[in-house]
Amino acid sequence: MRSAGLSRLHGLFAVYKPPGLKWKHLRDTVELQLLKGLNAGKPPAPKQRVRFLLGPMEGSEEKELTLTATSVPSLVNHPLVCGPAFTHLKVGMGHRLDTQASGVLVLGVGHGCRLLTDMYDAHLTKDYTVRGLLGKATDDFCEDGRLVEKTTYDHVTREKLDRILAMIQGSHQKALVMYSNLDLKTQEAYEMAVRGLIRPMNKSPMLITGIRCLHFAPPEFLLEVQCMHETQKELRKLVHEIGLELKTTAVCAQVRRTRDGFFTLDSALLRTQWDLRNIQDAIQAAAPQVAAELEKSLGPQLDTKQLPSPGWSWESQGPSSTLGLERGAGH
Amino acid sequence: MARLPVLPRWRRPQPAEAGTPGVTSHSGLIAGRRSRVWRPAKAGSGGKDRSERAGSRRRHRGLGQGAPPAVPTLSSWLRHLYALEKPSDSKSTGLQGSSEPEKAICGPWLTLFRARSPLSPHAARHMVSPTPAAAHVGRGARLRWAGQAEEPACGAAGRGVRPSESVGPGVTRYGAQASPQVKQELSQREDRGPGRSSGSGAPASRPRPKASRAFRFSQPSRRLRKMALSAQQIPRWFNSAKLRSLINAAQLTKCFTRPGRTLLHGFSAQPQISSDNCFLQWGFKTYKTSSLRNSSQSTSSSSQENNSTQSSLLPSMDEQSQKTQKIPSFDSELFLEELDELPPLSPMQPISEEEAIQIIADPPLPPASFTLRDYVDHSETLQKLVLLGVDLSKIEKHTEAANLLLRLDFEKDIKQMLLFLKDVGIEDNQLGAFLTKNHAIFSEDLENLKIRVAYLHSKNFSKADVAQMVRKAPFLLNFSVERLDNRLGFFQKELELSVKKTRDLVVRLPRLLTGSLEPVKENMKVYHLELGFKHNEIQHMITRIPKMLTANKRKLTETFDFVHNVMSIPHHIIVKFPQVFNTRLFKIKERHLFLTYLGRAQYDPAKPNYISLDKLVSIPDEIFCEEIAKASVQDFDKFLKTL
Repeated sequence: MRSAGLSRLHGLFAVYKPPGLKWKHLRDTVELQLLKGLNAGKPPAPKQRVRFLLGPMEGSEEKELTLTATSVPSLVNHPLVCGPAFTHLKVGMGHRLDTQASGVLVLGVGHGCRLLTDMYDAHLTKDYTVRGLLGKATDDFCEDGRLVEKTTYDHVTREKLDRILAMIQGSHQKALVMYSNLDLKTQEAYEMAVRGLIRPMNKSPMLITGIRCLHFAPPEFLLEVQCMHETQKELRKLVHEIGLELKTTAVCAQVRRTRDGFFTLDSALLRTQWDLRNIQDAIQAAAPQVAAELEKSLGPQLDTKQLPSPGWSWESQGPSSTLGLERGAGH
Repeated sequence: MARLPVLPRWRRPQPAEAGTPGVTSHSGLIAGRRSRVWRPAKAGSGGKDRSERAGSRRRHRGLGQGAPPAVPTLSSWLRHLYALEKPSDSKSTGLQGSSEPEKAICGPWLTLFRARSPLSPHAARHMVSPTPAAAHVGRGARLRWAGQAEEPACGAAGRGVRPSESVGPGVTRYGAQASPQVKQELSQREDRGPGRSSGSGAPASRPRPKASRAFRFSQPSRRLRKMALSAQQIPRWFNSAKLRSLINAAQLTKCFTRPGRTLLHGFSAQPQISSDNCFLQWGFKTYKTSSLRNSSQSTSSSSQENNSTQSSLLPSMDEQSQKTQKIPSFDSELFLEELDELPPLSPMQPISEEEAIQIIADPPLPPASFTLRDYVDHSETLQKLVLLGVDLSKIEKHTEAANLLLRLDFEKDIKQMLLFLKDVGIEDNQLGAFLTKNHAIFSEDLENLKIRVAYLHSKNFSKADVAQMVRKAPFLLNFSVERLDNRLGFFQKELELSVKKTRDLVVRLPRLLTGSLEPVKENMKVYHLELGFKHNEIQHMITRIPKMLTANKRKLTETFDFVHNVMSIPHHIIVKFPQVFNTRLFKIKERHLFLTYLGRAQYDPAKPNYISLDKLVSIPDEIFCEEIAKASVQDFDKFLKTL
């Protein structure tokens, strides 16, 4: 009973972090809810203990005493005596999100915390939707920060914005190649580039693998960004710099992560779903995909000599791979 | 003069109440905490701050009693030592500085030892010694002999359990340090025979804890062990038939504050705790006089309570013995007579089958523990409490409360309290939760509690009201009449409500009376000055939602900021629906943004499709989506993922 609940609680799952909630509070809330669910299970059967009691022997004279073994219930394992069965759970967190940012947040429970390291080492890209507001500049690039500057933005058009974004993407593509530490003259590098696998597998500054404008209605505009090794503050700074490139100013109104590696919005659990049952189901649903993707990402890295097999597809990368290919094609 | 530490308010003594026994002073026997208790207060920090900061609930012993005196004097110490508890004080923690100690009982002992060494608190301890033979051993000088006499001493369940081996290794281990005098004595004792591990053949005794614990003892505790060795002689005397008859004949006094602890136990001292206390406990334990029983119990309990803050150890408690053998108490004269006459018994002596059967060789109870699990099977009190529904796992976190529960007897002490609580109106199934929260009520005096309930009745709180208040705020009855009066007066003045409305408010939220008053004052100012509500509006809101008085100031301002500035809801509508201040902000935000997205966010009563605030916040998600937003729950979820 108890172990059954706990045994299904090892693995990775994604939650949707709402804006305004600190990531640590979220992790603590999830842990509390899981513990609540686990402790609500059936308590163990009462333990018995053997006691030797002194009593008159049956059948013989009254004065003779003998010891008889009796099994009496013991309260040692009673939940009121030893407390709740579960007091701590290992809940780990994947790539963090700011307090103001929202979106997909990967958590690991139990043995799944090990997989979090694997996910980090896979250096997969993440998807964001970033909402910008033209005409203002603040000190922390957020809408509610201290106002620094106000500008006009009538001259801004969609084409100008797209040109800026293309320029950004091009420069970041060069940086991608540079930070991936590959010798481009080799055959392996060429094959990896064809498949869009070139990306740095160790620490690097924020790199944008793809950026495009989804919606433009001045003063508002909506960008979709695929990036890696980023922080949300850098994304807000990006919006600010886009404003500067457009010869106006811009602040960031919303940063929302829509994909983290292979976890998307569909599988993310909302606040009302942060309980034992839903999390167990989410872990089970995500488990096969997690195993497959991590093996793909990390498998070839272990064996550096072996060339990546030709039949190997990289669809899990999704838009970033297509963008990468486009980049390759574009150049 | 050192400043007395300030106790938390609900534990301060109740001088105004009639009939309270004199629980004004500890004696100086909270020895282990002496250094902490009488340290001069740090400049600037009030006693209360320090106590609050340092979690003083655990520090301040003597629930409901006054602060200990500044300097422990021998007289106070001895008074405590010989104090006999009055029957009415059976509830308190037994550190009774009663003014009429039965000095006479220990008179002979005292004079005996007074002659030997000067009267100082420190030396007085050294005077305590179980036998005349060992008296000079215990006197004065710190003995360097350690040995692990404590463990094997006076605790063996049967005879011949760990005989000389206990002494042998002990001696050899620390032999180098033993003074020649001690060594001589030890050899004498060895000659007398093995089985020094005290066979108290009585079923009450328990084998000692393992020898490994000896290594943790500090030096003064070696003195204890030394004296414990000498004390081993005594329990053996009880094995003799002669003494048994004495025990049976002796009067069993009921004046012990700590029942259930028999003489014949080889008690573990609390070796891990401070040496001074160890010493005290051992010395006191070995006395067989009633006064010493008292003192040993009280000292051990007090010192245990003291030290339990540090080490959070519970004393050993073998309450099973309570059932089998009551604490014998007899006069010191009697004891003195027997002391010299009975020869020590040897484990090699043949015993009859009946006696052999009666030797109990259960595994020993741990002498000190962090949990009550170890004692629950051996303590009827604890078992009955568990059956009532009391959560022992929560109580064991408060060491003094756990100690108290171990010592209380269900029939004598706890039952009366339970009957009183039932009279007040708490149901059977609610008693467990109540006692879990307010375990300190056992140290309250029943008379005081009755007085407080009578006071509440006099203020026109009905019986059902009082029952509800006590249930919701378990600590209510720990407050003195004066304090309750002050608090009721405060609410009446501050809120300027009628008497009946104040009463209803307090009955609905009795933790207003038990909680701190500062947040209430602050919140009143926030509502008036920061949020801009008029006084009658505040009164209306408070009578509807009393919880607003104790709400978090930051959350209040954030909620109001969103509701008033973002949702553009004016004051007079917020006053009509004060439950917005009782809901989480994220709920209000999510629902408002969803309605805005759908174009249904209309909060003006004058216009059509008006959505009232209570419908916005107080109904569950499914009904909200269906009726108010006229959308499905899946749409709401999808929308939430776009925020």
